[in-house]
Amino acid sequence: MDAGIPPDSAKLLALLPALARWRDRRDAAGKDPRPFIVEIAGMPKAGKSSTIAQVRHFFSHGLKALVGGDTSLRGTLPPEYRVYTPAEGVSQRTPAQLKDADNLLEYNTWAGAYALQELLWANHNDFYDLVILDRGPWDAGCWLEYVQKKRKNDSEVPECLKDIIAFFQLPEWTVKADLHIVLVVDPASAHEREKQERLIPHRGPASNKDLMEEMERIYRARFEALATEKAKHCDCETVETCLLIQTTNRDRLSVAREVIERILTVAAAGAVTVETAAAVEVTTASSTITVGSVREAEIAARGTGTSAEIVDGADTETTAELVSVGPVGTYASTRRVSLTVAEVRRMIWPFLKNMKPSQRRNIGPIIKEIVAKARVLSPEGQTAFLANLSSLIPDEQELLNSVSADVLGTQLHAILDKSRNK
Amino acid sequence: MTRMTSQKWKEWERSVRTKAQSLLRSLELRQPAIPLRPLLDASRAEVIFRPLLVNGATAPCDTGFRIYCQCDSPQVDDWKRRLLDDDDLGRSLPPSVRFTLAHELVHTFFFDRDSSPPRNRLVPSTDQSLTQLERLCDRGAAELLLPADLLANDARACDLFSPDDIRGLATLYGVSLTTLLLRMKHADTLLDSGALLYLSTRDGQLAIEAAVIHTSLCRVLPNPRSRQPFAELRVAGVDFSVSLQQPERHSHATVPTSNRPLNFEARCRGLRSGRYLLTLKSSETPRGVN
Repeated sequence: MDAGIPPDSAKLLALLPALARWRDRRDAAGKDPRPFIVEIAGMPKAGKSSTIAQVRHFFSHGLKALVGGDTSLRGTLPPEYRVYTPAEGVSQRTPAQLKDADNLLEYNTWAGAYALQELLWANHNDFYDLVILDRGPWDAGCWLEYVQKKRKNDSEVPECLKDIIAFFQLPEWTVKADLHIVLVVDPASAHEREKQERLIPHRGPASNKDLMEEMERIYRARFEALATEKAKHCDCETVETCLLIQTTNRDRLSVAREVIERILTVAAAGAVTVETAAAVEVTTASSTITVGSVREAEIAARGTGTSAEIVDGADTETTAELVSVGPVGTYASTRRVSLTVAEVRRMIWPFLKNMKPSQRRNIGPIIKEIVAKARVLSPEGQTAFLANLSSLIPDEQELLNSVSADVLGTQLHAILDKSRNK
Repeated sequence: MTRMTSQKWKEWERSVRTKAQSLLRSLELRQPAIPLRPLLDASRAEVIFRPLLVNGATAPCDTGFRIYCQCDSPQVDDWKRRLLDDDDLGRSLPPSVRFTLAHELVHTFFFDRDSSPPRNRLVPSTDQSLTQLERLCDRGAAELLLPADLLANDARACDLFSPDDIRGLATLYGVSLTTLLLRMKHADTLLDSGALLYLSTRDGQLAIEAAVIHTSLCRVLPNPRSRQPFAELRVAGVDFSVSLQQPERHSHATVPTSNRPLNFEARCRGLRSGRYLLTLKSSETPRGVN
């Protein structure tokens, strides 16, 4: 790990592999590969955009900082996480005429529909590792509730508004985001933040005290309902997949750290619940999390300087098959876990990285097919497949090349055939 | 990520050509086949021959660049020796390997070499720009391996309608026939009214790998796509029944046009693996074509 990283950040960095393992576990369970999706909602000036920027930077650059010069970690992790943060619909994408008409119903419905599109797109994307939605459909529901309350005596507001609100907050959509983060702020602080950021007075929503107070009430009330719904419908049983953060009097970095830690905690817990696999507890300053593999525990233990303890009953890599190779908390497995699509993608990432976008889309099904075929090989065959593949890939951080999906697919098939004899 | 206009690409193309030419000039490389090692050394590029998932790849590093070149394990030492040998300097490497190395070398032209490690100044983000970049590197590689002025001199000394002379030219420069023909096409060289076609057998039918067709024939022999079936060119009368041992076979070919058929003298040479080099020499200019 790079020297000079503050201890708080180092602890988070150590947990960073949890996201890769989350994808591995989904893959191993035969689920479609998709990114981990976070919906960030909340009041104006609560710090959503700056938190997203921090989280994005951490995940985009963290793995390089974690791995540093440690070549033993390369190959077990992707070179970097691919993070996508679509533009916020409300301020960036909603047509100007809707804003000008001051038609809050259609304005928020448009923004909600946009957010829903992004959420569904993310659910069917296999390229990114992490997608962060700045205001998702759930958030649009909160704003529409505000419209409903504000205009309860307005005859132009349709009666079906409550149905529209319910639509955006349907469990069908909320469970598609792996984590909801709701940021609230004291209205007076929000107003103060808005003033500090402008050269001249700005009459944004944060300067409307009534609106802010009402929105805080709505967010808190809807959050309770969200937490109940998600607990009922989500796979993740050990960690809450929604988090409400009061950002008043808190600095931006501490909020970002809390969000990052929750993302990684949910990812780690999700990784375990998908498959009751190796359970390894890693203790950080603020919480104890369960990570999905011994390898992950090893990395976590190295980063934090804390110990990693293997819990009895781990079944994918049983304790009997673990060999202690170093100080307490550093372990290696003598047996490989079943091959995954993510693992193969990570190995050939130097070649995928520079592929034309259309070719990269084409290679996805080819890799799936190869992995499906490789999984029926003996453990020795699988190991040989990975060794053969690995021998064709230089250990370089940045590698320029151009290869088509067809050529790469042919090569992968040839390597698979070569490994069959093992 | 970079989105670029066609104007920008033209500027890059000019820049690649200029860099290739000035590199050859500064190293005083005036004799075919162009040696590769001086070019690589001048670009601070170290070559690593090894089994690889692709033909070639380039990685910037603190000392410059590492160029990886696909090579099966048993050949690694031999190829390394050919590149490092002071008499050879990479001249005797197989044409495809020479082209790969030259192509990867041109990739380094897009880097800012003042920073350490060198920083890529052109990171394409779309299919189109990636295709453009790779095409530019191909053209740059041809520019390095087949300098226009040298090629023009040597080509003048050949009978370009003799398949054996064409093969000799490719061997002299250490390039494949495909590279030579594409270079002749882009270097505005050399043919009087006629055409050179390099054909291969794909799925039982002849397809065009590369072609040079004189502009006066562009209406009757439209510029073929790569791997277009030869049958679509509607050239009749060419005798492909040649064995590898036989000298080039002369025959008469005709191309039907709207006015009257055009006659060519066709010379065909059978190469290995179902490949043919075919030259068509026209004795007349087609009507209506200037």
